[in-house]
Amino acid sequence: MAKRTRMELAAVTLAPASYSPSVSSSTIHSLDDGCLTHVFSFLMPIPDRYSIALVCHRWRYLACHPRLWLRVERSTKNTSEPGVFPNLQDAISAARPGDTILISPCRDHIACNIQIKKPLCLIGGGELPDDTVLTCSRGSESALEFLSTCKITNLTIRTELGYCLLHRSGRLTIEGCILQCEENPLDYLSFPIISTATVPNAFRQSLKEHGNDSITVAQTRIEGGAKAVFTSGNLALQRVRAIYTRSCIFFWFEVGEQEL
Amino acid sequence: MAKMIKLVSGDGAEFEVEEEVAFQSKIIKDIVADADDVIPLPTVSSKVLIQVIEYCRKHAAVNSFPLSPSSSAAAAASSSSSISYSKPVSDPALRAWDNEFVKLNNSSLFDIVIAANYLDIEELVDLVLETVADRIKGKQAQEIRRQFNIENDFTPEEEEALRRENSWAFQNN
Repeated sequence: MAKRTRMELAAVTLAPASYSPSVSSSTIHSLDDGCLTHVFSFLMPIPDRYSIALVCHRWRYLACHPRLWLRVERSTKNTSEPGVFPNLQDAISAARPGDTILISPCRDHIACNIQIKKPLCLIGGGELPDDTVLTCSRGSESALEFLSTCKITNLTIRTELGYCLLHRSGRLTIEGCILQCEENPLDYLSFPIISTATVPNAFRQSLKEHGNDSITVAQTRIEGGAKAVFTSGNLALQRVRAIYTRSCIFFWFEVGEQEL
Repeated sequence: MAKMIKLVSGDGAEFEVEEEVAFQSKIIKDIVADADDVIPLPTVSSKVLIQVIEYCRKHAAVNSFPLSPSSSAAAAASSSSSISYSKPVSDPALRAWDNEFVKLNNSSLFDIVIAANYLDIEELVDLVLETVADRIKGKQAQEIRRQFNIENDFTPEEEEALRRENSWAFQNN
């Protein structure tokens, strides 16, 4: 707020007789965007920020605003800013369930055996998924290991030997990504997606308690690897669609309970 | 003898406060630096100004002592894990006083935070907004609308699309 000079304040001073306080009708709409965003920053993403996003258009705009996202930025000059982290592992450790992490468009992010045990959304910050690359180096089993419902979008995940995504449980949504593996791997060593999740062979009720372990892939390029998906549990690949372009193939498919 | 500053509310009432109390407001601190001791606040009513002065008086005593290294480290540690910018009040007695202070209805709270925002009193803004957040916690959208008198401007289709868009985050749909 700018410094107010005496002259400016004097100009707006009202004579007591004409003062008409509207204070008794202050509503939450009287708060400016900065104040409302500040209120939302106190709330846990799950379930509260999703509840407030449903209240009205203005709240939805502010609750889903990137200002509330965590950011991963490789350059060190931003590390003193709250909510900005130099690497993905740190951001994931600090994130609360339901948070969104924006990963800056940069080709040398590292992701080695990063376990994700809480619902998170990872978004690549570039225009194309090619702009944001997470690389998993030789010694690691996988880039990202999911033990919770998550969503990743607009990212490239590249692994030198091993899995791009290791899915243990939860509903994983992969949208608009690129998964790259070794071109000619030894068969058991390199898969873009591997799922060890198992659907219990029990009544429907217990299934609901468990949640649905599944993977949904949309508009994603998968390159290299012995095959796109390997499941060591009893989930099955289904509803596969592919679109071939001049340079690459886009896939849509689901990995879930075998539909009879 | 402490230097006194005179604040004049929108409805013409005058309040004399000690300089250090008034200086909880960064705006007032700047204005007084321009050599001015009478500050008109046309957008703040007496009722709200009284409450704000009460808060400032209580916190002036605490803020006159710089933060000890341990409490500032605790403040830094807790603020780095989230995007909220508030610094927690470390003194439990003061925190208890603050909690009593904000036991007001929503409308009064908004009046106070608007005034505190105008006067740039950071801690009071944080306190009130966190209180508002507490009143939202754990509630569904419909309850929140009812509590704060907000009109639902989503069409049923928009609402459904929004629920679907966010459903990835919930294990059980």
